[in-house]
Amino acid sequence: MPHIEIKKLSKSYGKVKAIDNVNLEIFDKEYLTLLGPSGCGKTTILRAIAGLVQPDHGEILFDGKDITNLPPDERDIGMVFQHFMIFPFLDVWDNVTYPLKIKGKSDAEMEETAGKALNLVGLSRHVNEMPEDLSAPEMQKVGLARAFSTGSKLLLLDEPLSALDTKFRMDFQHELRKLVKGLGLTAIHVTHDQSVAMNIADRIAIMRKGRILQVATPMDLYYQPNSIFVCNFLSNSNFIEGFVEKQEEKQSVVRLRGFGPKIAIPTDKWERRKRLVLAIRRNEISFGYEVSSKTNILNGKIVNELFLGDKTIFHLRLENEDIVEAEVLTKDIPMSMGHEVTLTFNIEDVMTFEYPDNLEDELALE
Amino acid sequence: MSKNKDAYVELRNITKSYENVPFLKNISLKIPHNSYFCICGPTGSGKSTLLKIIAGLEKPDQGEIYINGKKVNDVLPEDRGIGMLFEHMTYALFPNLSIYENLIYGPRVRGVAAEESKETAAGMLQLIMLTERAKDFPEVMSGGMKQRVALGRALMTGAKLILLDEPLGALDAKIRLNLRKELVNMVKSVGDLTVIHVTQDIEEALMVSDYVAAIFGGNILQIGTPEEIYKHPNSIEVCSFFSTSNFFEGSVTGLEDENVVINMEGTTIRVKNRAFSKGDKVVIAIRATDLSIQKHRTSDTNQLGGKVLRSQFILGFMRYEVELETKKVIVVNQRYEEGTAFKENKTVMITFFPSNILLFPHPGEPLEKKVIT
Repeated sequence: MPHIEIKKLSKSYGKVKAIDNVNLEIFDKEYLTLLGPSGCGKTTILRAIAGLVQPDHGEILFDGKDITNLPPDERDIGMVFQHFMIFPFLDVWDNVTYPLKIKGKSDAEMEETAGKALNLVGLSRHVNEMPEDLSAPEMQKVGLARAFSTGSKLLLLDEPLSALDTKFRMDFQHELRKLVKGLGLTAIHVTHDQSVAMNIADRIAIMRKGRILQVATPMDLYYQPNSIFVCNFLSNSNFIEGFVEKQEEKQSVVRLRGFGPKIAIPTDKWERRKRLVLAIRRNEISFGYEVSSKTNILNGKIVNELFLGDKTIFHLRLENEDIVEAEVLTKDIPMSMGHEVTLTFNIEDVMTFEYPDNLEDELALE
Repeated sequence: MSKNKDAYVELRNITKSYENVPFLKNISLKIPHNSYFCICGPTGSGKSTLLKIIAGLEKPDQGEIYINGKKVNDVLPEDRGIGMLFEHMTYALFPNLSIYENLIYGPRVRGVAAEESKETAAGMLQLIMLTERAKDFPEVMSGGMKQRVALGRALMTGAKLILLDEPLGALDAKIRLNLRKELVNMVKSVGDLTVIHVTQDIEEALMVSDYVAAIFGGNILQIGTPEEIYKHPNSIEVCSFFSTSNFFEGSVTGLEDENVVINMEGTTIRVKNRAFSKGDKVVIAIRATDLSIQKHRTSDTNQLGGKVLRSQFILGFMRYEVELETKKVIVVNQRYEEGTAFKENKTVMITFFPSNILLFPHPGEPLEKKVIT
């Protein structure tokens, strides 16, 4: 029943604030991912929970009990690492039973728990093999079995999939979630990969520069990002500048800068003349045949076409010289297409943000 | 390959073995002058070895290498006039030199006049969008920035041939996407440059290159423009690697007008194609994007029932793995629309569009040996 609370946690390395006053709650049996670009502090949080990093300020509570100063080996945690961290000179069985041996468990107990864990990850027939004879996914399964066999209800995962090829990553991701849910564990998983986070997590905490920007379910984050950064990090979006021209009931009309086209937005919360950034996801713009009162229309000239195989990205230049990118399935491209095209997208799909002091900085991924 | 007939790099009958295992099998290749040429294939296909042979970092067992019309087999790497950026040396910037000094190092060593190299460096800084960071040292730069510097440095060598081995490999997914575009822009704006880029990332290869060479198991199976490779793959290997496709086995049961009638694992389909005769065993390829997934049966033909095994959300698109009634597992890719995603274990109907089906002669061996994922 691990229920974890992180309160006002900070940690600096020299002048760099790795984590800066972070608050986060992880519920029992929840699968939470910490997602963000390299250097955002996500691994530092994980290591602080594990006890491998001593925070400068703040506290960490396990089921209401302050464990901030408890040594790692007394925290009852299973941990899985990016680079497997399995002993090359021990076979699969000895690797998996290693933490049990250290805890002084009996042979019978080891047979029971390690056997079960290996069975779960599908490695029962590999117990006598050495790590060098295993594939990358198998090695990571050894790491996982070792974490499971500790019997801990809290599993910490540090980029466990990033050393695997794309194909294995998808399979492994699916299995990992299933195992964690099957065992009723609480999992905290650090990743920089949006796609992994979106598919594996119950909730995602998205981080930047030592702070947590938003915590929500994957789809809430995708559809209701609270900032330009979150929106940009989780989708391939266009960010264009405009001014509110007219407020209507539950809708408004925005005029793109430079006397550009009018775009309807699905909110009346911004006042007239307000300077906004509109975000439109690239994949939600299409060659529209279905134009209705629910769609926006963009006319423009195709100035660039990037062919990606199954998908194609078009760069459309609008009358005000803004460039909008649309990503479509290659098979959906009309047979005869000139340079002048009409693209459509749903009004509901336009996200709006107050224009920031520095848009470029908000969009920076590093 | 008609745009420019002069080959800047030509390989003739290159072979290479390691411990008697043939790794590159008699490869001949012409890379046109001023082209952006990708060599793309899975891990272990021999693509990096091929690049090292062009660079002079590996010697072929047999065969000849020509750069700009001159045989270079016995020319040292540093004398081949090549700029290089290999994955493992991605961040091999001089840590004790600023970004500016890193860029100018090459021209300085070559004895280019200070004034001239200063000018080129200023232009390059602009190109890699790091003018304001010129005085910074590598240690304070992000991975993406260092990558741009490394690339800038390769371009600053003044070489007319640039070799790139997974130049974006070490970066976060989202940054890779952005850098791809910049990479093309940088190369195009330098001009008079032939680029050979090795990658296993299909989207990257298709997006950045003028020509793609598809390499598998030490053989180049096809060379063409990105569209040719994707739309008209010449083999099951190329088709499976460059698109997400589903492969079925079948035999031609008859001919009708422009179509062949095929028994595809128990289902009758008609495909516009007259290259096959009655009785031929064929392999049918259907792209994952050419299938659509529905709740209910909507038509009597071209539909198969199944159950969703997995559904995956990938940046606005859905990838489904569906087990058909025949127990075969297929992949369906669709645009994600809010509220329309199918959950796992859901029973569904799969519709396929016969106009987009590709046919190949049956290889006579199990399909798994030919399909590359």
